[in-house]
Amino acid sequence: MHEVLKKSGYDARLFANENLTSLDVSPAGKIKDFLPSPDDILIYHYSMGWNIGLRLLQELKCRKVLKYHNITPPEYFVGFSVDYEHVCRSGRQQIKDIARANCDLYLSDSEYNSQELVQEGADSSRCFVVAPFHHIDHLETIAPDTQVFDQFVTHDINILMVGRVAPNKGHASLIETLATYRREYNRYARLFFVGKEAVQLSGYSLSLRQLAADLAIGNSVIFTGAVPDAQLKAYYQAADFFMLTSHHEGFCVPLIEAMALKVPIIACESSAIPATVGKAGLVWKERNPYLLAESINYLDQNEAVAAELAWMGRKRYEQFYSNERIAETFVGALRQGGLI
Amino acid sequence: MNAASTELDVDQLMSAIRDAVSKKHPNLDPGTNHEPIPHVLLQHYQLKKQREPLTLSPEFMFHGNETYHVNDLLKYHDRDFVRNAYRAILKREPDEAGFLHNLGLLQSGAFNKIDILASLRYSDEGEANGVTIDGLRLPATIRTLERIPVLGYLLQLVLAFVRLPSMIRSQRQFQGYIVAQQLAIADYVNEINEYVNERQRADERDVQERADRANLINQVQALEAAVNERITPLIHSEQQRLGDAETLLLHVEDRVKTLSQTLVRTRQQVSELASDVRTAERNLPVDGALVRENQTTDELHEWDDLYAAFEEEFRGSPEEVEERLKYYLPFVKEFNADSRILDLGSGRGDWLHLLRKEGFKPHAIEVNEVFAERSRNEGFDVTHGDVMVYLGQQPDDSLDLVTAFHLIEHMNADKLFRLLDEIKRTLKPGGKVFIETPSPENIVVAACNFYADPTHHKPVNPHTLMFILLKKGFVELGLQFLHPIDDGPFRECEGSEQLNLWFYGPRDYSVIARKAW
Repeated sequence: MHEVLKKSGYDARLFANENLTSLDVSPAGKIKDFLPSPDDILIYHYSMGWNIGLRLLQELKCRKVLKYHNITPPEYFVGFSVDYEHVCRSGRQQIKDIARANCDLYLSDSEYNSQELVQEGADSSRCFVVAPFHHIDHLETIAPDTQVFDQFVTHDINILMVGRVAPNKGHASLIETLATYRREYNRYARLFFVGKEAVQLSGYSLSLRQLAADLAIGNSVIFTGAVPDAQLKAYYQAADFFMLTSHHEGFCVPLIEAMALKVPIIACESSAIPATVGKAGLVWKERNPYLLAESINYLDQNEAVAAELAWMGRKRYEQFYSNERIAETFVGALRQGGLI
Repeated sequence: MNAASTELDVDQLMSAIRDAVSKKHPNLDPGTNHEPIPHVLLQHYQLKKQREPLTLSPEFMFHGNETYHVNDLLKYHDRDFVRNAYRAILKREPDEAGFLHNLGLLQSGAFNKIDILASLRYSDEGEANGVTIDGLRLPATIRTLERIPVLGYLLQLVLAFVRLPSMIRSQRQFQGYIVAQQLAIADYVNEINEYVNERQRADERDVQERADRANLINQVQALEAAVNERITPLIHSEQQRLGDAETLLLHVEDRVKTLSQTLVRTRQQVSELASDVRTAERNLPVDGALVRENQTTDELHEWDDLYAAFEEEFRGSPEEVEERLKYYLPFVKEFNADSRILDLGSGRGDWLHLLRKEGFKPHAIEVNEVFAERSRNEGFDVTHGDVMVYLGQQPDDSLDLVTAFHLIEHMNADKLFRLLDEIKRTLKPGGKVFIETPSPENIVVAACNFYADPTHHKPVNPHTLMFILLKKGFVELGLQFLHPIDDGPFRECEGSEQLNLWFYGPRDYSVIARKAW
């Protein structure tokens, strides 16, 4: 977003409390000095409760754009992590205030997120959907990690799920699906969970491993932890199918990564998932392991259909979700909102 | 559905998959949602949590791809650190000696965590396992340098100075960690407290429930007593009726026993009578046979002498006859010395001689007293008497083989039928019978030679004999024509085969059959 604005000739700068990236980031305290004029624009990326951010929206005289990145409902963390539960609860409690902060523009990752803001009182005429920018261009240019690739490209069916190991991601359904598929169709199949495992959620991580062990597929469910991009690319390339059974997703970037890298998608319907996938993958209303297992089997038996589905994903990515397209949507939204 | 032409219809594809599922699992409704899994998982986890002891450091996460960052392991402390370093790098639980050694090094400060990770990773076992620990190589190298005397100390000083800010940061982190642990302990204690309270409440409920239950038991006992009072007289009267019925039944049983004893006795009497009738029947004279009963003893002797002489003259020399009888040897192979073999009308005893040579112990019945006497003198078990009478005295299913050489042509049809019946009765199941008799298919035999013996009745047609045996239930029947005249004048003439058969063909035939099992 920052790059898009700079390319368009704006003096854009990044501000944050903590510098989590390698980009040139200034401390949040200096925002007021940078935006003295009412014509200036503040874009606030909102994804958790942060009182300083809310105060800035209320105090600053410049024009304000809110970019809403989904907040997971706290219920998913109950019993697993008090910290996560607390952060999500305060984040969701603040949605109401944010939605009523009278921003000039509300940009959301998905229609699903946008509706949340409208329901909390945001002016729907100022709400636009702009998918999140991503690193797929980078992913496409780098070489895959050969060690991972060579290790896992075998005759076995590889099922991939990418995303942090958190209770809203519905990992258990995938474990059940793998057990069903191996029992009903093909013993040679395994499941990769590529994503960070937070220490605070070790209870959840352990219970998933316990479930896999209880279903006698402990060795075929592989938790990789967070991986560098080269390894991520190798996992995508080694995967036969990308599967997602999350209970709650605001947009789900891994879905469009799978589309871009031509991995057929099998998913369950919830939150923003059907909108992101569209007709470029199988999105089931039911969370039923037999249906999901048969989906794997059907696509495995009909390679041409699977290839066609992957190709449709690629087309959808190019049509809606490449960084260029997202930039166009973003600039278009700014323009429609009268900000530029 | 290829990429170039029309696009894939995803809805159609999904309905095909749905159909496949209903076909494979007709009883499964793919429309139903499964239990919302996070809740199940949560219950599972919470149940476990209640039972498990408090652990202050996070549980070790095994990485399936065998790749860890050094920070994945540094976050553990003390014994958890040592144990998890072993699990990650050596992929096993620590042995006791190694565990205590490394823990000692760590606790004494001689080694820090990096040293221990490096020593495990770069040990022979660590190299063999080849687990990747990102970010270990550099700090490990620095630590090695630090251990060089003097220079190492200086290096440590410099590094300590350089690291001061990061050390302060990690000090802060450690503080945070300690606070988090304290909070975890507080949570745990609160949880236990809540559990204890819950137990107390449950105990109180238990006490109440027990009181309720005791009350209920009292009520049930009262009801039971009331029911007993009503039901006891009824039981008594039923017992009385049952006793009466039992007495009646005993009486009836006695009567039945008496009647069945009478029945058994009656049956025995009937059976004895039937046996008497059968014996009397067997001893009745047979029409057409030599009516020997009407002849005087002297007449009989004279006749027997004459017939014996006749046989010597017309039957052929004993050597010739024995040679001819050897035809039958292959068919007695299945018998042994203990087999019961009976020769009917043994005559001169040619067959008995041959059988003895083969190791069998045959016995025979011969009507001609001269022959019988002679055979007995030669050591054979030969009874003098009538074939039919003798056979009639043999028990059922008692004989392995019955032979009748040149016997049946002495009988009329009625006697022949009875003979075959008796043979069948006395043979064991699977036992065999050999019958040899002159063949009427040789015209000379049929018209002339047959009548050379004045005791011959009439020739038996081979096909008639076969038919009768078949009808009487014999099995494995075989018919063989024997003893042709080798030097007949028509033998060489083309087209005269039938003529040769009529005049110079086989003079006898044999039938071999078996009693069905």
